[in-house]
Amino acid sequence: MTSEHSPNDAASRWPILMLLLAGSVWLVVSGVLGIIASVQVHTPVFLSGCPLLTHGRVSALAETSFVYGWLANAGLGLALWVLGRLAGEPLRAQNWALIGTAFWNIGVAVALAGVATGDATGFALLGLPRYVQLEMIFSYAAVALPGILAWSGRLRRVSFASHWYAAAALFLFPWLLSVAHVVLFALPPRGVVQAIAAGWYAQGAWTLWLAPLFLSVAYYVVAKTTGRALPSYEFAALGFWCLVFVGGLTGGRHLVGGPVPAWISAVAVVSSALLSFHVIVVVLNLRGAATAPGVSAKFVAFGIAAYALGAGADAATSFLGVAVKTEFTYFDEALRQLALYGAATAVFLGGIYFAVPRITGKAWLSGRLVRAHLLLTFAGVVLLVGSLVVASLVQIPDLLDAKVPFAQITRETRPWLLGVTGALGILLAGNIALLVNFYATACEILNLSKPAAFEAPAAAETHAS
Amino acid sequence: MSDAPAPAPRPRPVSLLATAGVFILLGLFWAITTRVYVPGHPPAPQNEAFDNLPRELAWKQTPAARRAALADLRKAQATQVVSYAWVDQKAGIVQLPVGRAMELVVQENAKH
Repeated sequence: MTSEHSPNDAASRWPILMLLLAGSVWLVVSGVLGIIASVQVHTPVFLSGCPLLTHGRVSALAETSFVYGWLANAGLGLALWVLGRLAGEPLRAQNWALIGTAFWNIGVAVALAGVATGDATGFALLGLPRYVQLEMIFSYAAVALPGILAWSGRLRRVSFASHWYAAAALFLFPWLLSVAHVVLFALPPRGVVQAIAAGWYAQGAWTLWLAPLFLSVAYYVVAKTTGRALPSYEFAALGFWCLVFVGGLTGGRHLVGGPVPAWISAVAVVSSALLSFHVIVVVLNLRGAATAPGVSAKFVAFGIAAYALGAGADAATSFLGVAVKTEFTYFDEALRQLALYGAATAVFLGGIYFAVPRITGKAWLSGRLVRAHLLLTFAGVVLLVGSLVVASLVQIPDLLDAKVPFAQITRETRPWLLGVTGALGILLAGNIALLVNFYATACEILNLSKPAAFEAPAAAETHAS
Repeated sequence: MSDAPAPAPRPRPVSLLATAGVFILLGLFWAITTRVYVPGHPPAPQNEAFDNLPRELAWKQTPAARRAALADLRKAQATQVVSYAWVDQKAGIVQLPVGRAMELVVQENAKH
């Protein structure tokens, strides 16, 4: 791996900082929208008179800004940083990444405006209106260009797990969105085929795009923070190829029991179980994060634990006998939040807290805000997922009993949905702390009276007690 | 020796060919999907153009005609929900603005 003191970081910092800063802004925006959507679930009259902010639109706005605003920007920024560091030279074609970042975020803003005015697609994880999708594929390619060049033109022939996952994510997302655009929008198929294609995209976006992005960061940060070779590393390649080959086959996992050919859901169930091998390898490789020092390692350890827990629960609940009880309840939402917030977001936050001191050459401006963010994120995710799971446990027997009126189910789940709103408030407070700290720290490199000079990264990093 | 920090290294230049190559590579997915999937695929029902429709169903003939019919319908409905009119004068049935109708329903139910 590369040296801790890398002047290449300074030479590559602008596109990476731009991506991470944009991601942090979208994280706060999606947090506000998520709270509005959450309040509307237990208090339906909230903002019901405003057509732009009805529940269906706000929840699509929150998801789109979270996935394509926060996760995409942060994941791409960290992937470029990891690939640049492992290449052993400054990122090439940085101007393309800057242009791509600008156009990607313009695309997200236009998509949100479109969703707010009624152009939402109704597909999970694909709320982007049709007219921004091609622009976003082009923007993504422009951002990915320096990463692909860093990967293909690296100065050392050897490659690491971080390489594989980052490069896979850069290549696979254009494939996923291209196919989804053609199949779902340009020439939509008849009837149930749309649900199959939409399910394939939603699972693919998670297993073939977001998961590789955060695993690339996790492999890099854990190797650096532990300072040792990763245990059982010889299995890492098998874990990677297992994810690439099997991940795309889990698309019918949420169609179990639906009006689709039985083989589609059967393949998805088997694939979900097969993915356990990949998860076991990841946990074996990255278990050192649990005892490594620093806030970054703690975020990553939390993220990997959430990833393993989520994958296990996903595989267990994909079986027909369990799925008939959990589908259409808050359990699916709990798994989604565990994956997107507990796993991906936590690892990206760990990556940001690890990378920014090295990119800027400055310590985090406030160590307290960093530690506060760590605690608020852990507490928020546990409360969020826990509340949704308990709400689903309340729902399951009632939904299976035809005599129970729906209004009664709503009343019984309301206390837990209030807990969800509280959890989202806690997470938003932590994310505002990140944005303020990040903005202030990043601005330090513009302070001409204190020119940027690389401090020892270990001293610049914040350690949680 | 000077104490000044060493200047940051400059990135290696990238050829236009390499840049174009990466864009083409990422665009291949799109090209293959449109070349392989689209030609042999029948249009979805909402994109089909129908022939020999009776006059009263002519509005269904093309997607553009369907969109125009939908726009007309929504315009008429938007007018209807805020205006007074007779539905059946002999039977004494009237059309009210929705807001006024809601007030009357609330008043009616408040008596019980």
